[in-house]
Amino acid sequence: MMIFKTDKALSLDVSRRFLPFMMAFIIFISSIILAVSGIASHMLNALGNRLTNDAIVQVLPNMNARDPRAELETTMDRVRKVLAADTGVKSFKIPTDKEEAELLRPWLGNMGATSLGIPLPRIIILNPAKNVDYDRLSIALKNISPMINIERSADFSTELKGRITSLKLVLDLMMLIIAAAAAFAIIHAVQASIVANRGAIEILRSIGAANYYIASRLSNRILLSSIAGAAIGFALSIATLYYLRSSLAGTSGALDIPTVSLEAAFVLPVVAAVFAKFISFFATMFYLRGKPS
Amino acid sequence: MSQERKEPRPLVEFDDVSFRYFEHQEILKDVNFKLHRGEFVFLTGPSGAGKTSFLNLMHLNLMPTSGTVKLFGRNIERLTPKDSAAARRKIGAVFQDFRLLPHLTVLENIALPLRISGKSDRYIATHVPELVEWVGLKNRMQSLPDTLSGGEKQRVAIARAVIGNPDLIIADEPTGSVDDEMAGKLLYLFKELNKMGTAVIIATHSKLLPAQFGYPVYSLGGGIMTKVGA
Repeated sequence: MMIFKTDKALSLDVSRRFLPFMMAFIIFISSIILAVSGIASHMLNALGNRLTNDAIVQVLPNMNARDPRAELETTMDRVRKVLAADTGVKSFKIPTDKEEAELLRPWLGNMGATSLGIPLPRIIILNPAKNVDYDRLSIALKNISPMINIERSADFSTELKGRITSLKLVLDLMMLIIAAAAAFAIIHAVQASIVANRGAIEILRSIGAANYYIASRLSNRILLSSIAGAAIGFALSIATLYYLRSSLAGTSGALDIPTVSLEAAFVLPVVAAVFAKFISFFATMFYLRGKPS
Repeated sequence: MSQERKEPRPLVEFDDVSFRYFEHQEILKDVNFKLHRGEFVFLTGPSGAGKTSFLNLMHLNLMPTSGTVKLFGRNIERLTPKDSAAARRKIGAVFQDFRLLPHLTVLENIALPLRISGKSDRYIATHVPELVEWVGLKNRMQSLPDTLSGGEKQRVAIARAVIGNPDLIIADEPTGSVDDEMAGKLLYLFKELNKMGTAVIIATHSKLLPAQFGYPVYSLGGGIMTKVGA
């Protein structure tokens, strides 16, 4: 059976030597960046959903007391009474141990502090009224115990959110730079392929091949190289991310790699290959445009 | 009432065409020439007379220094690259240097114009081997051009030129490297295509070849084109 292959006419594919490796590297780096970006998003989400209340009363245990846990509970009863009596407090909620662990998860990881065997500081989430006077409330609470603080979480979370958002912006910028670097590398690969196949291109043109025909053949070659490289990069990145995820799973305070990052790692090679095909097609059309017909 | 007969539009039309390479002497001087559908002409002249340049103008490889060349009714200087490609797909050209792709087999080289025209694999698999057999290269189908003799390469180039059933065939010394028997066979191929309406122009320095066919003969010498026979 005879085998005809359309793009065999452009045989000299100089990009084959470096494009797959470059693409593998790009996919690997992009996947890692995406994972870190996913972690940042996760943290932002946690901050947005769980710590946007206006204030938190933090009751710290007195570690010098004979029974810190018992004293902490007594203090909590007195704090409840003060808060219930304050007209500036609409309502308040004392999170359960589980909820508290969840709140602290972005900082302390899945295990939380309970595994450390120390009494957790108790927190009370305030739902303040418009006329709340934090200074007055603070004095009233300090009268119960100097170990009580009011954390206005808006101030705290705004700063943290700002830092995480900055980190995300840097990561997004890095992705853009990587995409631009990939585009430049593909454009150079196209240039090299056009030079290497100059003779074949002239012959193809002399028998009626339009620029579109040549560009689609060249870009198909680039696509194949990209798919090969993307597959390698994908395998490496998935292996790395799963390894990190599984090895950090049991670590106290470890940051979780969100599942969405892993899902994105699956999409990335496809996006990269299609991106390579488009860039190479239009680059070829551009370079051939200037040549005599 | 007299009825004026309208002349059909020529496939190729040269109007006062001159051509020179940069500042060199003019190769073509005020050449006027028309080639209609179904015509078969020979172009003769000694080496260096400008036959190849003339054909290159027709094949859009060169642009005239002055005058107008029209191909399929359109001024070649106004064709976009896309139009040029479309025009070339209607031309079957045989070049002196064959212009075969060295890494493709005989079969693949001949199939290229069909590939470019978007013909199906089935169509190609049916038609190309038939023609390869016709030009006597059945046993060389899977050979690469570098392993072929000059005559075999020429036959591949001719097969590639005619495979797409073009409107116009331009052949530059198409029988220069083959024996008389094969030359006759190849020219018969052109003749058969010509019967179906394909216009053919063959450049040759041979005086015997045109004499065998009785088709019009144009001669180029000193840049001037003259009709010398039939």
